[in-house]
Amino acid sequence: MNDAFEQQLVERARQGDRNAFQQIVESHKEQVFQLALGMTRNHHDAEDMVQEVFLKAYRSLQRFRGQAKLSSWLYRITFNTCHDARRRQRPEESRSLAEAGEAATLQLAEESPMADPHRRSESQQIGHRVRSALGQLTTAERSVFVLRHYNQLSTREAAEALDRAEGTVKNLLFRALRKLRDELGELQSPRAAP
Amino acid sequence: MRRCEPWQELFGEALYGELSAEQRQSFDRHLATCSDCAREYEQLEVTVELLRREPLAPEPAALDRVWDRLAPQLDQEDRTEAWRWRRSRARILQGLAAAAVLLAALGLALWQSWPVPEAPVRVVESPSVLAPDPNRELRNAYDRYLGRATPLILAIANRDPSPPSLEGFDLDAERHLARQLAAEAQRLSERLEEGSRLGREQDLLAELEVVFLQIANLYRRQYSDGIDLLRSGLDQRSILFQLSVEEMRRQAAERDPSA
Repeated sequence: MNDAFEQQLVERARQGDRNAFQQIVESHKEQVFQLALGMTRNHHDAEDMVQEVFLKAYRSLQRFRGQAKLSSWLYRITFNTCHDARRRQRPEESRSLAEAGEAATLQLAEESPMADPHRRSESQQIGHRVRSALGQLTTAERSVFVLRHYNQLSTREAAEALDRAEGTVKNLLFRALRKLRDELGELQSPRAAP
Repeated sequence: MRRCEPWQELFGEALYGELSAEQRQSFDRHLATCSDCAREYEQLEVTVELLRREPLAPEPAALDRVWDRLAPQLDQEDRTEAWRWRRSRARILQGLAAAAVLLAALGLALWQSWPVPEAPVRVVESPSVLAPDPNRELRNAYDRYLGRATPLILAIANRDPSPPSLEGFDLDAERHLARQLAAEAQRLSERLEEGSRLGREQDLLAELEVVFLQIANLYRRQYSDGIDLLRSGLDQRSILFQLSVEEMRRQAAERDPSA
């Protein structure tokens, strides 16, 4: 979707065109979901976050001036929504939710058809460790890492989405990768053992 | 390692292929001369490779239901927003109506306190609003009718279209009164026509008759929409303003019966 067409959709959505807003949602839901998933680390919470993000976007569409890309604006809303949700949760509640989420995600992974049982087990182990390792990152580190690694944004785009300086984003990404390396140590090939 | 910090800042961009050819050459030259950075870069390459094996993909079913879950929430949002807007508009209208009445009262007070020349003034043609009424009985009936109609109209104009409960409202009594007032408006209009008093008064009576018929048909299950429709009608036809003008005329006539 090019910028001019997207701007037209935003304009139409502002004037109450529900179809235009639906097109915006359909075009961006996957990226928003991916960031929410990286931030919350479980599907149930991520799904609720996506609803909240698009509802907030709908409410504040009048304030979107088109200075940033629509995707960057939505990423920022996603980051803030996930960050606020995390702050609202009490520590013990947060832990139990994360555990429940991990259990649910693992269960889903077990149900998914995968031909090789050994590979499935290995994948489950890696998946579990990755989610656990992501939990060791700060919110800022995790958001930068998810945007760069999973959403495949450039450093400049991630900086725009999070309203941070590019240097800060580079630094956060480096710190995130280092922590992930330390957390995932034994899963990595012997040549890379730290 | 401190001297390596500027290079470490480039690790992320290097790992994800974001460096320009020139930057990449400089970066590789540094790795060739710094074993610490070379070892760390190699480890991070393995980490990124491992993370790529575990994609963080949303479930397709969850993606498919995003809009279906969102649409009803947007409907609710639209309804709430429309209610907020209507409420603020009603408040503005009430404020304007109050200001208009205040200004009218001030104007009337000024007009009455203005020194009147003692010499008799020959009136050539009176303005129609304050014209002496040849049929005083008909005029009084019209004024009495407006006196009964106005409170119900004001009650509807100030009514919350979405109250938490309808417990406090006696809709049956309001409907009964509205039915009486609608019939009365029709009778009075016919009398005015017989007395050849066509025009403004008859127009207002016709509009009030429509409004009262709407109130007479207001039921609980359509309460919010009905109140909305009524208020929109009052607004579009400036009925509150017309009632204020008639009230000013009546007060002026009371103060100066000879006018």
